[in-house]
Amino acid sequence: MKFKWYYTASWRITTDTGVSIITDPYNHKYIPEGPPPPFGTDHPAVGEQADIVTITHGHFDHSYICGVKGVPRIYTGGAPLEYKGIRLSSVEGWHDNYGDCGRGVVSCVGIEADGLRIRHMGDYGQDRLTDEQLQKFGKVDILFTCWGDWTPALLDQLKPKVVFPMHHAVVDMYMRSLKGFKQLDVSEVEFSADTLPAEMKCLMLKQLREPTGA
Amino acid sequence: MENPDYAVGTAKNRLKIEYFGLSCFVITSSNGTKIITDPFFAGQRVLHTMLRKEPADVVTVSCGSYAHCHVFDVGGSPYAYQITEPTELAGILFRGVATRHLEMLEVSTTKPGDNVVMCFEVDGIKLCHLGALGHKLTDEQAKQIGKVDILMVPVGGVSTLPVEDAKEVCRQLNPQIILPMHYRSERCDFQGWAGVEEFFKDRPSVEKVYFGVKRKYYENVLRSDLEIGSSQLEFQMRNGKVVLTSRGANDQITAETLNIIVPRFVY
Repeated sequence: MKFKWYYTASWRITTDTGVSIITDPYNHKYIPEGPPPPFGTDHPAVGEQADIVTITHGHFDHSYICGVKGVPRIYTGGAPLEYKGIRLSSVEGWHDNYGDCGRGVVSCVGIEADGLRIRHMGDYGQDRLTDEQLQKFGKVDILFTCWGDWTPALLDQLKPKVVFPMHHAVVDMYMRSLKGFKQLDVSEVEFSADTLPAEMKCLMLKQLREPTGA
Repeated sequence: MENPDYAVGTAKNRLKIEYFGLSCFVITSSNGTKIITDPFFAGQRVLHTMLRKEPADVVTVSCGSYAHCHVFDVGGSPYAYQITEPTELAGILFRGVATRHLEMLEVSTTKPGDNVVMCFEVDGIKLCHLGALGHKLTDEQAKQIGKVDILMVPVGGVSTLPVEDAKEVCRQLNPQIILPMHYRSERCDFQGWAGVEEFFKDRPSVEKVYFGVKRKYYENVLRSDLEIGSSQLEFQMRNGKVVLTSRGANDQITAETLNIIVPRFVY
């Protein structure tokens, strides 16, 4: 199974059978009337086809369907979905510690295919997962997460085998302190159920979509 | 008085259309297939009811503006149709026609045109959703769209085509029924947009304009009409004519002239 990083929370996951998933497609252009963009949104769009597009929450840098080509199936959380041999499910997490008064809910999307359990955390940013959430997550092999104060607790709780930092993640002291940390100069890596490391690996990839200007 | 046809007519072949505001319609076929057009981002100026994960089989996206492509609010893991290649989804053939929207709104680079006009046929009724169209149609485009029974046309201007051009497009496509959309209302406060009344104020007779229920005159009664009328329109194809069979309709709508129906928003 291949994992390719486009930009922010947008990844392409390609299964061994050739089914492709794009996660959280971002809005690549500033819209005058739209919500304010963060810095550096003027990136080229994903611009590729996929069978499935997963969207963790409705913020414009995670939910821009027009950045993707073709006729994908959209999964935005809720009831589990079986499609083309892939099982999609979600657990409700929160953008921050303030629940509905903060930046709202994030569907942490789970993808099960090729014997791997993948979890895309979107903009999850709680201090800790509750016991109930933790139980719903179950086992996680591969984790995509943004990087911040909440990340150590998350990794401690979920104990994934592979972690991909994303969403404006920068290499910080904590990331360097991880035993299995590696910064790679590629945008795509491959894993299968057999080649999963025994100890946790943290792989910082290179973003495929570079900014085209301010 | 209720439409007698409502009681007599069979429940079959009845197409339901609900209007959520802006360009967003929820279209339900007689066998339960649901299509949602152009879901919007409900923000500071758009006070329309959000879709709240309304389940759908297909969601169509005409352009990359946040008022047309906010698919996150749609539930039920739908297919997203936003291309021009004809594609069959959930048993319905979708055709997209590449058009442009106004220069100021060029926000999407992944589409063949910046705006895609959506054509599909449900229960024998040919529907056409113009999305955020920004110009009059060329003959070629009108030919590609073909025959239209129910046309959903943006009439607010500013970020879509001017209202006079919208009328011209209606003449070009000659639909039986027009559903105006994307206009200024108390729920959608965009500066400079025209209200829906601009679209039909110079018509010789407004008797053919329905606000969920039929009204002879339209004078500052938008609010009360919106509250009376049914938000769910039902249509049926009878002998080549589209008939409004909603419970609220006093009269049948027939195809003698262009008929405009202004549906109540879903609050």
